[in-house]
Amino acid sequence: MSNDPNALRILDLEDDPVDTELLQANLMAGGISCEMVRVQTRADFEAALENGDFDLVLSDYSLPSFDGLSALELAKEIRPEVPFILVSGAIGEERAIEALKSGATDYVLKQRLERLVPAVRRAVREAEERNERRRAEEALRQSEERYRTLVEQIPAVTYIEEPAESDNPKVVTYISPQYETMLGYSAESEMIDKEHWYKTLHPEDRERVLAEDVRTDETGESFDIEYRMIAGDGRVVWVRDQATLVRDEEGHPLYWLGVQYDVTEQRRAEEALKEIGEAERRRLARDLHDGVLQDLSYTTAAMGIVQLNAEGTGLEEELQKAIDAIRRAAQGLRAAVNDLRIEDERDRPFPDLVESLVERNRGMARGYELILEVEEGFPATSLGDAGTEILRVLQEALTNARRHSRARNVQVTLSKDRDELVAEVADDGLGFGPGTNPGVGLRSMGERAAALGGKLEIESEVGEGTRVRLRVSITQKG
Amino acid sequence: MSVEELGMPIRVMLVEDHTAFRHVMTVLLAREPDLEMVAQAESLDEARQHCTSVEFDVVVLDLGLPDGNGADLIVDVRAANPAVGVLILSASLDPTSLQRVTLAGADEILDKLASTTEIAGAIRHLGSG
Repeated sequence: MSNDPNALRILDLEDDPVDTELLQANLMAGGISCEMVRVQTRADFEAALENGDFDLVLSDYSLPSFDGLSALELAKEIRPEVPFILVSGAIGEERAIEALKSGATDYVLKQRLERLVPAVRRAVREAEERNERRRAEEALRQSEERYRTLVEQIPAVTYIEEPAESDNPKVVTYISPQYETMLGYSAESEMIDKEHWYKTLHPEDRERVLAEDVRTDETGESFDIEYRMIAGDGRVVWVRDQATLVRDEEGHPLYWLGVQYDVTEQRRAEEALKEIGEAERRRLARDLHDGVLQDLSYTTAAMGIVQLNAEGTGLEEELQKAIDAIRRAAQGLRAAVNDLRIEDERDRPFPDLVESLVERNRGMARGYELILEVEEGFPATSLGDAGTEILRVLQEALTNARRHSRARNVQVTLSKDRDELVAEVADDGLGFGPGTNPGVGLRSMGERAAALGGKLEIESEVGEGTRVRLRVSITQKG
Repeated sequence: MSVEELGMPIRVMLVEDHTAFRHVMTVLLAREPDLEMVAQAESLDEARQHCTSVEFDVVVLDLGLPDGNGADLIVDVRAANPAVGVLILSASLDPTSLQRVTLAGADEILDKLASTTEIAGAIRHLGSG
């Protein structure tokens, strides 16, 4: 047994051991170092093939209990990749051809043993080439398998899309199976139906997303956008879609490589946080209300009692001033707290805000009609901070109309008079005359009007109702 | 006018959890001969109990109570006596709360910062209507 690890391991099906030695000698002389194992029965041949690790099979054509062609068949079955060379005496061309057709790698005539070495070399080389190729293919297959597994493990959808310049523009040639997990549609539906993406885009997001899609097609810039999709079960899913254009060495577009993530949770969390922020603000508003306003109300009332007891003394007026001051402070606080509510609304169109205000006031008293009239020419835009002030004046006027006037009908009118905006609250209630104390409400409205650079007009007669009109010059607003 | 000329004084229940303000109201009503404080409650629960045991003509109800929304009490008050006048005192004048109590049947909503005279006047007005 040779100790050469590079020695060719050869299985020789041959009943004559001398012939085997001859073959070995021939090969060795030809520079092919080899180990030969001789078998002569079918059983041994089969066992040797199954258990041994041979690089080559040499076989005689006919043996007492076996034959070369059957051996060939067996070898093809058990070790198809091992080359099989028939070595025999003259077998005739037909049989030779038959043998080759049946899968023999070659045949060599015993009379022409000089052909053995080249035949063996060629057979072994071809077998090696085949094995190389097979190993390479297997490696590639495994590599692809690994990548595919990797891609399919990514908790995101990956896709490949043809560029707009290709013959199949914007066709999705690959989309990973996560697509189905994310949206409930099979991955194939995106590839087969070009309209599928458009159809599953949320209608409100379509315009925006398609505009960006067109833009990136034109510029080749990366596509990166969040939008909503409608899943198979009707759910709304927020998706972040990022795609990069892959180019060849000359810069020509090859394909878009894209990733889509489900960001619904993040979006929901952000909104929840925002809501918590707003809830915190509202809570703060309520706490401010409850604490400080209660104290101020108490103080006002307590001083009111003291004032009643001080009737007829000089103290009455002083107390009244103090009470008014506290009231103003409290009303200022109320307004500040209401600002927390109004803040978000400041940028809405002013008429919308007035409508909300009127709507809220409608529910506050029974037995009276409250109408809002916005005349043509009144701006439909936001009036910013000035708008907030005007709203407060309107609210105070409405409160007065509701509480003091016993009106049945109240109308709020917004109109434009040359370069002035006019906001008016008119009621058909009791009205008041010159002798009536206008009360704190009217005073504070007057102050607000002045702060706006506007004018407060009040028309009222006892029994004739009341009109409270605020005029604000447009050039001064905002 | 004397109490006799006016007839029976208007009986008032006050529902208010701010102790100092309750005290002020007590003093105020004590000054007015035609108004009488017959019951006080610090919570809606306490108020409900009074509804079934005390007779009153007007309930003065503060909106900032700890154990619920005053609007819910109005239902119970009216159940005991449909003719009772309901006066709401509100410090915040929060539009949503006011809308709720109005829809629940409050007769009058008064700014808690209003003068004591106004408050007494409102009670009087509700108690005699």
